[in-house]
Amino acid sequence: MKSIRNACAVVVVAIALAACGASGKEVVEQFYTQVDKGEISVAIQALSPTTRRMMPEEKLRAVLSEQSRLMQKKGGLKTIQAEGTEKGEAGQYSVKLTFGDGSLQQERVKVAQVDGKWYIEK
Amino acid sequence: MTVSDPGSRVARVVGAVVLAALVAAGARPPARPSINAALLRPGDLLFRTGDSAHSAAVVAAEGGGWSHVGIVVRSASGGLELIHASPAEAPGEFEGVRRESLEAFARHAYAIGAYRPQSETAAAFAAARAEHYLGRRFDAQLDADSDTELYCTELVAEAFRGSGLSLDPGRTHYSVPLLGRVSVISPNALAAMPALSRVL
Repeated sequence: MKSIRNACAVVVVAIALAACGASGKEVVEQFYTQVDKGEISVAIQALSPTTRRMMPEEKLRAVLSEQSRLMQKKGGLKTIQAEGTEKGEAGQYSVKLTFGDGSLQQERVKVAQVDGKWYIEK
Repeated sequence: MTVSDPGSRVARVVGAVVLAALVAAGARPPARPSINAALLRPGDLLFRTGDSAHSAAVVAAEGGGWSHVGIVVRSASGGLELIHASPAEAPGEFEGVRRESLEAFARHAYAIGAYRPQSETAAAFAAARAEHYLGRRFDAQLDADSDTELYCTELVAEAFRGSGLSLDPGRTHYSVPLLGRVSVISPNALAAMPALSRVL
């Protein structure tokens, strides 16, 4: 049992570490995908350390969980199209979300690099 | 669901697996912080940093940051416990303002800090007032100005309202994808208020 637990831990940590090198665009796409799946704890890691430090963690989890529920109510996320640019340590994306019921949602997201890692910026 | 091409990550994954195996072989969870109740009194604010691995990493990299807060109150047995507004942290737990032992609060913490209001009278007022909010639902919406549902820092601000000591540092504004512009009372802005001094 202990070895299974360790193996699972290895896989989880590996995935988390592998995600560390994601581009700004990938971070944005992963954020929406993870919220859609209800993986709120993982999604929150895409937000900049400043945002996470200044917001009550429970509050952030709760409001994103509510968004996840609303996304499922719309049939879940079907496609994500993120278009934009990264220049130096900052970037901006226009994101188009398409849901299972055919509805669309458009958002603008800023990204910034902190210590070599891309985050969604405030 | 389709997303744009994420590119190859084979080398990164292999490296990560090797590193993770080393971590799994030798890593130990961080020790839970203990709370010295003898240093506390009703009305003190108890802050914590979450116990997720990521929170721990943020603390290590950036020197900390509080993610949650509760108010110390007197328990029925004469000891100390805490009232805080939180989603359920265990199956069957109430999602909202509830009492909890100091030990249970620390169980979800990577780091703990206690701050004392400069007015003992206001602190006693707030400790009593916090009981009034027991049973309110957790505020999972973005309506920060309503007290029908509360989140952690909002509970503190409300409990001290009318005490003669304001512990409302105002709202911090953030833009978060899917949420738009979010206005919340930041635990760190609260802890930084000059009306509080750290005791633990």
